[in-house]
Amino acid sequence: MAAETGTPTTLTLKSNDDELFSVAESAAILSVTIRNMVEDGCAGGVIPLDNVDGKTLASVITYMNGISAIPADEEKKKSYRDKFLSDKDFETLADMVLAANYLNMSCLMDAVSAKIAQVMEKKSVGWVRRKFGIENDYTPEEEAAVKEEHKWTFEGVETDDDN
Amino acid sequence: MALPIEIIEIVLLKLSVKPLLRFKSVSKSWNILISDPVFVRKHHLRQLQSKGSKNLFLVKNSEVNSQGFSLVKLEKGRKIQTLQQVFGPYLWATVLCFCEGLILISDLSNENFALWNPSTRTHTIFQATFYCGEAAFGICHDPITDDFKVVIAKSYDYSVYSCNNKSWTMLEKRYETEYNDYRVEYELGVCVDGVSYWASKHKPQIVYYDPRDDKFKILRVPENIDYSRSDYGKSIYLVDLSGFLCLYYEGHDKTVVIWRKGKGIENHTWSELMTIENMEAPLRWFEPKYLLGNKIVIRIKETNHSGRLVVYNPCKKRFQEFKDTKMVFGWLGFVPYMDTLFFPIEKSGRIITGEFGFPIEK
Repeated sequence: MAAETGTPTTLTLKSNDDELFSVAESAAILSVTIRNMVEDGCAGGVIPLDNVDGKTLASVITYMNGISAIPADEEKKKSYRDKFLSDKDFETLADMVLAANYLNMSCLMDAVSAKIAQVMEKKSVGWVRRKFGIENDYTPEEEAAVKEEHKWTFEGVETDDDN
Repeated sequence: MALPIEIIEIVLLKLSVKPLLRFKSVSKSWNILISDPVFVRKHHLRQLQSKGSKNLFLVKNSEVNSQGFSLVKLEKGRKIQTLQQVFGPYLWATVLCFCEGLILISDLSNENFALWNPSTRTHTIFQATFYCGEAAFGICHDPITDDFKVVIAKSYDYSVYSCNNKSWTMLEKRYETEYNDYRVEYELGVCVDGVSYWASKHKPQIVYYDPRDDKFKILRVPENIDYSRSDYGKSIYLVDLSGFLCLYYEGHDKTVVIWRKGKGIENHTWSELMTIENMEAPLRWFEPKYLLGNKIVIRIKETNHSGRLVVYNPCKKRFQEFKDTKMVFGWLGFVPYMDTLFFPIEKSGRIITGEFGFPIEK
């Protein structure tokens, strides 16, 4: 469609902290949100992405370019995703899952949420509260009762002083 | 970093059961989310879909006086990794059926039964008020009512326990037609697509219990199967391979032929899956268990209490032993494992965890 209407094949994306990024349209339309904008003809100038900061957007674009350069080979795409996410810390992953959700990129959403789950697998309750910014609304008695009920699930939990 | 609850749900759906139960302690809203039947169902369906790639099994521990099972993972390079010990509801137990993460288990008396979810370590016990020797056992999952049903089929009659009703909804009910049609004798059901299937001992025939209309039915076997019947045991055997009902039988010249039924209760089409050549053990001691990529994992029983695992490569027509596994496991002691929060009976006074004087924790 883009070729027919003569739309340039490079898009400019703008993060919420006003950074500009050029990205090939063929890679950018991995995001259904961007694809819809392109199809609606809203992509002529700069596409503002109000929910994504520059650092995260740069990372997402790296992913878009990387994954779209891989031909249809699910194994290779999977290993690219694994490698792409392997060195990301929790905060980055959380930013990326929000961005993937906003940009409606199901493959990235799947991969990042699976990675977060993998990171959480052996973490303590305290770690989860800290990282997710969750307030403990249990009374001490209630908390003790819930913990007691599932006591065995606290075996083998990593110690809390890590990141 | 505050994530919206919808995204937290997406992440939590990808966790396994142990951390999910642990994270009920994070906050009240996490507890409500993780306990929500809708969440449990979504998680269950996800696990069901990915079951074929997890390579997880429960292996009955061989030590005397061990009520435990080992949760093991089959890994590349023909290795078995032991992940943890899991304790069941009975000291001496027979695993009767596996269905979507639930295990039907009985004690040696064959009168006490438990439905057990080894991933949540929950179980519920129910008793048979009738004699269960020589019976066939199965678990079904009715897709309409979401009810789990335990089926105990004998030569002349059958009984059905409904988890929704928490009672026997059929007790020693006579078969509608000639009993011989459905007779399966002592046999463990293979549960696929929520239906329990049994292979008949007397002729190459498959019987199944359809939980949707509570009827026994006959599943046609492929027309052109050419089995060489041995003097011992049955002519055809059943197994769940990657979520498909498969049958296998001894072909000519020491071969085992495996057929696969199409997916879905109504789909009765069969296609040939694989032929294993150079079979080394009698068929009754030879159990295809699991598809690992394009290879098949086979359990070979040596005596009633020991066995080993081999993997067969159909391209190279070659068997290879699993490594470093002086893993001895007895009769029936190799059960698929699926991590799920699901349990068909709501918590009640009947759920007993850690009683009978044995530890539920290591």
